[in-house]
Formats: sequence, C-alpha cells, structure tokens
Amino acid sequence: MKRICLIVLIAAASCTSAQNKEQVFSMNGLGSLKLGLSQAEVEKLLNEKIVLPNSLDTNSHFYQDTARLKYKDIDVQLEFDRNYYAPYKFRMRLIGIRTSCTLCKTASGIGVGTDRSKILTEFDKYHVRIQPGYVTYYETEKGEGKSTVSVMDDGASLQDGSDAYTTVFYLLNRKVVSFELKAKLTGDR
Amino acid sequence: MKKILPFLFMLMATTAVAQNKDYILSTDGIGALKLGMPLTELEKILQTKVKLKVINIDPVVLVETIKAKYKGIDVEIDLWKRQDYIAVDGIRTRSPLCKTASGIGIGSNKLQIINAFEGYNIDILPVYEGEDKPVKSKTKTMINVKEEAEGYAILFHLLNNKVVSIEIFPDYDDEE
Repeated sequence: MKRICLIVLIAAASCTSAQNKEQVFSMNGLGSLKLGLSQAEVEKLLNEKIVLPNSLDTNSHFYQDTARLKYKDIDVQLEFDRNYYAPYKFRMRLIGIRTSCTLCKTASGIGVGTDRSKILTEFDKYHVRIQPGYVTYYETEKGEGKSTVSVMDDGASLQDGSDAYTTVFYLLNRKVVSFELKAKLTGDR
Repeated sequence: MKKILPFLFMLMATTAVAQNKDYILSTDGIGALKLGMPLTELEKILQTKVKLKVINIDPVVLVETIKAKYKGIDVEIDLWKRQDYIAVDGIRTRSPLCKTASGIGIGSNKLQIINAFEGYNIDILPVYEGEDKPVKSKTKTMINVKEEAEGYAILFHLLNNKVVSIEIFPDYDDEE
C-alpha cells in the first residue's frame, strides 16, 4: 500500500512539474514552443495540422500568417513568417506566441495579473518601451488604461542584425492582461 | 512697517513664481528657450549676440553647438541651419533648477519619471560602452520621453538611477 502511494505521489509530482515546466515562458518561447521552430516542428509538438492559407500567397515576398491553437490546453495565437532556405523555397517559421493564460509565467513569476512596477524591476537592465494603447506592428488600439510594455533583448535594442527577441506585455490599468513573445530571426533554421 | 511686510512678502512670492517659470522643463524646451526658435529670438532671450564659429563660415556644415548662460544657468544649445534661418535644434543642461511642472529634474529616479509621464511614449534605454564590442553599462541609463511616437523629446541621463543631465531634442525616425 505504501509503495503504491509513493508511486502515485511521484507520478502526480511529475505531472505537476511537467505542467509547471510547460507554462514557464522566457523571451525565446513558452515551454517547448520555441520561437524559430518550423511549421512542421510546431505541428509535431501540438500533434495537429496547422492551416495557414495566407502563406500560399506567392505575390508577396515576405509574408506572415497567424493561427489560433491550443498548446497544453493553453489558448495561444501563433504567428509564422516565411523563412527562405533557397531561391523561391521557404518554410513557415514561428515568430510570435500570444496568450492571455494566467498559468503562463516567467521563472520569476511575471505573467498575467502582474503589476507594471514588477516588470520594470525584473527587467531593470533591459531596453524597455512603454507606450499608450495596445501597440502591434500594424496598429495601435487606444483606450482608457491601456498600455504596452515591450522588453527587448540586446539584439532587438541594438538592431545589429543578430537574432532579436522582444516580450510584449499588454496592460490594463497597469496590470498585465496578455503578452506576446516575438522574434526577428536571421538565417535559415 | 506692518503694512509694508505683507506687500514685500507678496512681491517676493510673485518674483519666485516668475523665476520658476523660466526653468520649467517640457518637451519643447526650458522656460522661454524653445526648440525651433530662430537664432535672432534666442539672442534676445540670452541677452547676448551669439558668435558662430562654423555655421555661415564653412558652407558645408549646417550644425553647431554653443555654450551659453540662460537666466544664470549653464546650457548647451544645438543650432541647425535650415533653408533660410538658423534654429535651435537641441538643449542640454545639468542645472537642478530645471524641472517639469510635476517636479521631475536632476536627482529624480526612474520610477518617478515613469509615474510622472503616464500616457507618454517612454523608452528606458541601457547605455552601451566600448566601440568594438559594446558592453552594457552597469551604472548608466537613459530615459526618453515623448508625447507621441515621434516628436520633441526629453532625454534624461541617469547615473546610478539618478538624473544627472537633461536633453531636449526633436526625435524623428529617419528611416521613414
């Protein structure tokens, strides 16, 4: 009986620790979902075929597309861009992960619900940009209490041609409501 | 004597307020010193003729920095020769008298600046030192504050999380 209880406890701890590991995010990804993965690699990870209709558009040279999926029961919006590995040949590559899941946190506990001051303390040595409204590449959604806090690594800050990672926090009344992990990647993967 | 004292007190208070307005820091300048101001107006404010050493002497060079005294404080002013006149294109100071309307100035820290400029576009920038392989400074930071994504900006230079100097300049994206 004691042995069975011990086995159950170990299994439960493993499941719990596996869930915790999958919910931790850093600048380069959420758990096993890493920025830079190819579409095929993401499909294998999610065990699901991803439909990206816009990626078939051959008129545009640089093209991006998004898909809403579940990763370990977490609703995520994934953004892909074209990664050319030969003339006229490309793979779709993961360059953005967005979620509002409260279970997703950095190793130090930053996530949905965190106050702006904690983000500023945690990322004290980084290039941090604070903007009114919800700012994306394409538009800014204005509104009372809305702001965007972007944390850039050295590559994103210096824009020196190296891989660049940015974590974007969307805040309402200084509290995080969602976040996005973004990458500008060089070279083929 | 009793009648004169209140009058003297009011006179001193009014004078103090007028002096403070001379040093009010904003995104478009310090007091009467404004970005974009023509050189002729600048000379009136500084109450002195500005002697240029480069602009109008070297036909190729269009910018020059001068050191001046504005209402008793040391300032550096960037001048830029536009098509038909020379204008103020940047102002720098280390004077503790210069503060925003909400009291931000020399000695303020990062959190005070961010809280004072709610709703503004703020960039908290690490300072990189060294030419070949730039390394992030452990003591220096800059905080750039603008009302819009592009426009006039206040740049606070911090050392060990305290403002040590202030710069006001037009900040536009050259790539657009």
